[in-house]
Amino acid sequence: MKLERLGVVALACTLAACSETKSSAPRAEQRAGAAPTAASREPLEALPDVPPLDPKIVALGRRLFHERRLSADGSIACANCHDLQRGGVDGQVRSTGVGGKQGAVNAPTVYNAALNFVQFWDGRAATLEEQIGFPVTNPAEMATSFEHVLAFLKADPGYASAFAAAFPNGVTEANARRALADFERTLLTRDSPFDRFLAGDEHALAPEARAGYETFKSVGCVACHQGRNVGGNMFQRFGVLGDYFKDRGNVTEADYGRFNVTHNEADRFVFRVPSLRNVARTAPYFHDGSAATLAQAVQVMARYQLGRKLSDDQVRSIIAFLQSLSGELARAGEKG
Amino acid sequence: MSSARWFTLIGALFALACAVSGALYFASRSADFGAHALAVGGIGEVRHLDRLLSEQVLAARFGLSNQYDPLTATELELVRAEGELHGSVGAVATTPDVDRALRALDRALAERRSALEHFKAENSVLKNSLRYLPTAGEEVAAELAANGKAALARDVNVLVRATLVYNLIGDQSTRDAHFAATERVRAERAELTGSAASDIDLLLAHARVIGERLPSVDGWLKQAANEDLSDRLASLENLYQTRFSESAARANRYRQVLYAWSLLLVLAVALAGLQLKKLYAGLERRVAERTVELERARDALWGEMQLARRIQEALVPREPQLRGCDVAASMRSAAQVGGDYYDVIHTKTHEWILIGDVSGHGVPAGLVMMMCQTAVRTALERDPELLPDRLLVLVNAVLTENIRQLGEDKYMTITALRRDASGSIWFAGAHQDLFVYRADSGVVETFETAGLWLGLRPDAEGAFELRELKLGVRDVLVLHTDGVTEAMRDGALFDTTGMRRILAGAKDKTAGEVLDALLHALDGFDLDDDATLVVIRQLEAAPKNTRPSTTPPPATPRPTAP
Ligand code: HEC
Ligand code: HEC
Repeated sequence: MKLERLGVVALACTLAACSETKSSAPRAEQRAGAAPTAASREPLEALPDVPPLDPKIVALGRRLFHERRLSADGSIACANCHDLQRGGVDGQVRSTGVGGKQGAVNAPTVYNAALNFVQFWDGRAATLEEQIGFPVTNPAEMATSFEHVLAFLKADPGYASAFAAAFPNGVTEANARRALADFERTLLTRDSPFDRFLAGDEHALAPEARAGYETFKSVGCVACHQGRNVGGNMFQRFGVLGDYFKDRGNVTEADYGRFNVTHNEADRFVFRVPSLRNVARTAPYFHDGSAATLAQAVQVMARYQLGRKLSDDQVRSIIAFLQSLSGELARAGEKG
Repeated sequence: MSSARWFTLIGALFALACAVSGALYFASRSADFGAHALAVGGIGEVRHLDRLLSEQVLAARFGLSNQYDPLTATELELVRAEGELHGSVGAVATTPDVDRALRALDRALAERRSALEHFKAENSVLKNSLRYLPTAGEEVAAELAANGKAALARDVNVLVRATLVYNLIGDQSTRDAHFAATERVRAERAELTGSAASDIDLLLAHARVIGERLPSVDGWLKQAANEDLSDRLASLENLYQTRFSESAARANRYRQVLYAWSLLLVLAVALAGLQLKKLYAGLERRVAERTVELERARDALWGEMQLARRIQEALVPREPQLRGCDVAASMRSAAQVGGDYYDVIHTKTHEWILIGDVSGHGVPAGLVMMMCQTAVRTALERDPELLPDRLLVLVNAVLTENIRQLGEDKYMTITALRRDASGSIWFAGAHQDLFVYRADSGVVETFETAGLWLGLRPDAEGAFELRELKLGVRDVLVLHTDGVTEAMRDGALFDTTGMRRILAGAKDKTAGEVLDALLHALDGFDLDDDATLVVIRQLEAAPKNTRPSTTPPPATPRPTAP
């Protein structure tokens, strides 16, 4: 790295920071929201299009996603915990798997999951294909094995022929993963009011939501919840400006988050920042499902992640903004 | 060496030569330039993404971008491109050191990604606190001032300022100043309670975030934008290029070896050729020996044919003559001597003409012919006055017995003609038709012959019928064997019509000329069998007074239209 260049950039940045320092507080926040620096983009971006995918594979993935017989006792499908009618979640604090077993964390939505840079709260799966192996074999979820799943798929004439139609080599583990993953890639919730607003429709956002967006940016939520998925592109410690877990109590292994993957002390209590798209539909919140409402969740964020006190107005408007992030579920997954 | 072992040896050597050539060919194949291009392209892509990522990290650190999507996208691209390097580089250079270099690159990338994650997280947090601290400070200071805590309010402002200066300068003294200011505010905060206290706690938390994260963010930044990956990449590339040119050079060397080997093979093939030539010389000698054997065998067979021919030649009269007649005869032997037989015998009172054909060919046929002639001559010597039918009964008896003793399955057609001094010709025995050209009418008459074939049964009493024909002056009698009439040309027989056509033009021709005409007409016909022709032309009228002692029944000639 050229250090001279680093210096020049640092100088430019310093000047920007200085000008901000001298201004009065409200104005400073106003300007920060309007992105006065040489920022290349808005911190939030529109939802991308579904990539071109083979409809046969996607249809097969949709079928698999709803197939209870994939689980050990034929009782649980992906859709049980990721109900596509309910925002891709089960609404439970913790999900219930085969034999009534409880999972360790709250189920995130499968909607827009394809846009997350890694999968799971702790990011232990790099891709959707990799991710699928976990629920299938997790004893608290589907509690089975791919051997079992493949045997079932091969024995079932409907699946055998659907696989044969979609893939040259028929039923294989890789193909089953691919089908489910490709189906999930179609689960993008388009046409949210916020996306229409970004596309230039000034009336798509109610004034309160509009104000909420500005607040969301100005108080620094966008420092973590950002990009096209309003989250899902970085890891963050849960409890940056306060000890969330001490205050909550009852720390479990699942609370260690990314530490469980890297065993690096710096990663203790670190989680992937979740996407806030459709967040109004996915209560309860957080990996521990501890926040029952958006208002609670926003307050926790303000307290522990921002170290700020938000006024009730600010919270209300942020919630109005978060609600504008709900896209169309009915159409998600249809195309492709 | 036996030729089987010789060939096994050659086969083994050939297989070995093929194996060596194949191995050399594979070793000498020039490095795959398509794969090389892919590997070089892959390295280039990783380098490009590496630089892009470093730029994006700096942009994120210094506020030139306000979200990580592009950075994250580049990171994932880099991971993909680096992963593909294993395939593309591995496809060309598979040495352990290249492998090690690839693994070192993997580690560098993993470290970099880890640094990147920490950088992203801390950079976000730092930015938030840096932005919020002045606002928070102003609010807290205002609140404190309003509550009459001007000193603390001033210290809060000092803390904010010291922290921002530390952010700008970042050296030890500004860092110390920041910590000193923090400590002062923290100490004074102890006296406070209520909302002011918690506000100051928050302020202190942000100050702490900045104090801690400033150095660590830049630490992560250095790691996330460092040159470790690009150094590793450079050394991988060097190594790769070295290995590639080495493998190209090695391929070249092997190619040279391959050329030398090919030369050797050519030489070996030449030598093997010589050896083969020797081998063939031996074979040729043996073929020659075998040929001689075959020739001998053929000669033996040929000798037998010669013998048959000689028998035939010995039996047939050289220049047959009849009183008051002009006679010409010809016998053409087929390749395999057939059994044609004719004879002219002069007794005291009569002249005999015999014509016949023994079934079969070669020596056995010749023997039967010889026996027949002997039997005829013996019988005529014993009784010169015999009539032809009687003669044939006697000859048949002898011949049938002899053939049986010979163990041959043979028979013979024969017509015996006795020409008396009176000029009458008495004849008997089944052979071919007799043709007579009548000089005064120009008509060709046909006399059929009939009777038993000789050699079929010993007792032929009454089996022959005696017939008579008379020749006028310049009349021509032609006797022939079936070799003449069965001569073929283009699928057509010469046949009796051919003979009669020629004979019809016999006026004023000598016997020799008639014979020549017949032979000439036969030219171009294939002779499958011996062909015998006897032409007899009456020159002067025979004396009327001499008669045979026994009066033979008159033969009734059947005139046929020419
Ligand atoms: C028993 C309930 C259950 C079932 C069944 C289940 N999941 Fe999940 N799913 C979860 C939970 C809980 C998590 C979060 C786990 C974690 O992060 O450690 C999760 C996480 C995910 C994620 C990651 C989302 C993100 O944003 O990180 C995806 C994608 C996903 N599941 C898809 C599937 C698919 C596909 C199936 C069927 C093969 C499936 N799930 C079955 C409960 C379930
Ligand atoms: C320092 C980074 C950071 C900032 C700033 C931040 N968040 Fe979060 N947010 C997180 C993390 C990390 C989680 C996941 C915590 C967990 O469940 O372990 C989270 C979770 C949430 C959730 C729950 C999502 C779910 O599906 O469970 C909501 C809602 C939320 N944040 C909203 C906000 C709002 C509103 C702001 C601004 C006031 C904000 N966040 C600021 C990092 C941050």
